[in-house]
Amino acid sequence: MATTVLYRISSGEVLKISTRGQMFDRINTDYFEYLIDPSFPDGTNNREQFPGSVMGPLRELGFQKISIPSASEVRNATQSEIDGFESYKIDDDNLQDATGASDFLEKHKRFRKIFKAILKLVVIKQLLEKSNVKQNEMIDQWNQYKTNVAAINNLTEFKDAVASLPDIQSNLMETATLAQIKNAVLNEISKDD
Amino acid sequence: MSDINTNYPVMEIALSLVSYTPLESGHERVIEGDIVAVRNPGTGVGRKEVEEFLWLRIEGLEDSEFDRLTQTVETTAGEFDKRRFCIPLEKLEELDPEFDIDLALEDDRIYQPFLLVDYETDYSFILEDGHLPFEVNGLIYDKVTGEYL
Repeated sequence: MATTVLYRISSGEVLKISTRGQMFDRINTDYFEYLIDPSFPDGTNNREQFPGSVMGPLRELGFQKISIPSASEVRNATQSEIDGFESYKIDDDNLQDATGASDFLEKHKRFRKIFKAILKLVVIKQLLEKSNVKQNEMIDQWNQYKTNVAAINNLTEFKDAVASLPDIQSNLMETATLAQIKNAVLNEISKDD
Repeated sequence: MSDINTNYPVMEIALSLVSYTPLESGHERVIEGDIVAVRNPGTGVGRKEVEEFLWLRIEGLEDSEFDRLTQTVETTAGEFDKRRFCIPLEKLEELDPEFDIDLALEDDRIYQPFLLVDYETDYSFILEDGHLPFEVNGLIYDKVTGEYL
């Protein structure tokens, strides 16, 4: 019967050694992989075995194994390798949480409504800011117009004064759409937050 | 992913605090963090159950889904892990930094930080106002897929 070894890809940490040939066919291969019949220079115990059928803790020096896929080998991990396992695990967990968070925002029947409502407010705020800019521009032009008119003496000067005023732009700035903002937020979801 | 349109029940689960070596036949046994039992809250528990397992309350699954939390990992080649689903104790510590893994694993110590256990009667009762139920998403680990629910 084959001996199989489940390990974390990022660190090589062996999670399970099955001497009964367990296949890990449904495992998420973004994070985990398994070897079939690698060499075991240090045996197949990944944890110490105490009397009373109790197993010792994980990541114990002398028992915890590390996978070396390139050599199809599973050997005892050194203490420094064991010390590094936890940060790789946390990283993988955080990556999974970040993926899950994106699903939550897009697929959760109620939470997505809150998310969308917030995004709509962002869009409205953008429009308000744009509107304020436009209003200020028109006030400035009106004041300039009054100043110009006060200084003219005839119709020709009046025409010139009006013509010298700047055009009012219909669009002062681009406004991001709801979809653009949503994607921007999803892209901001980070495993490190 | 749980759907909060649904009114999910709160259930109590017991986690193993010990890892046991496989039987001579090769059948595996529970290991630390495995979900050993799922039940409705409010039932009295024996002293041994309080000592040997870590009890907590969870929500986020429908009634019918709770049953699968005590499934084994079984393939056509046979039964492997005694429990498919577990809650790594480190995950609990991450969610509640006051949770002390060493205390939980200490022999002969009753440590139930997520519940209030009433020891005054002949039976122990787990009181509901001990701790808010944990949400299953991101908490329960599926050994088959290597992912959290």
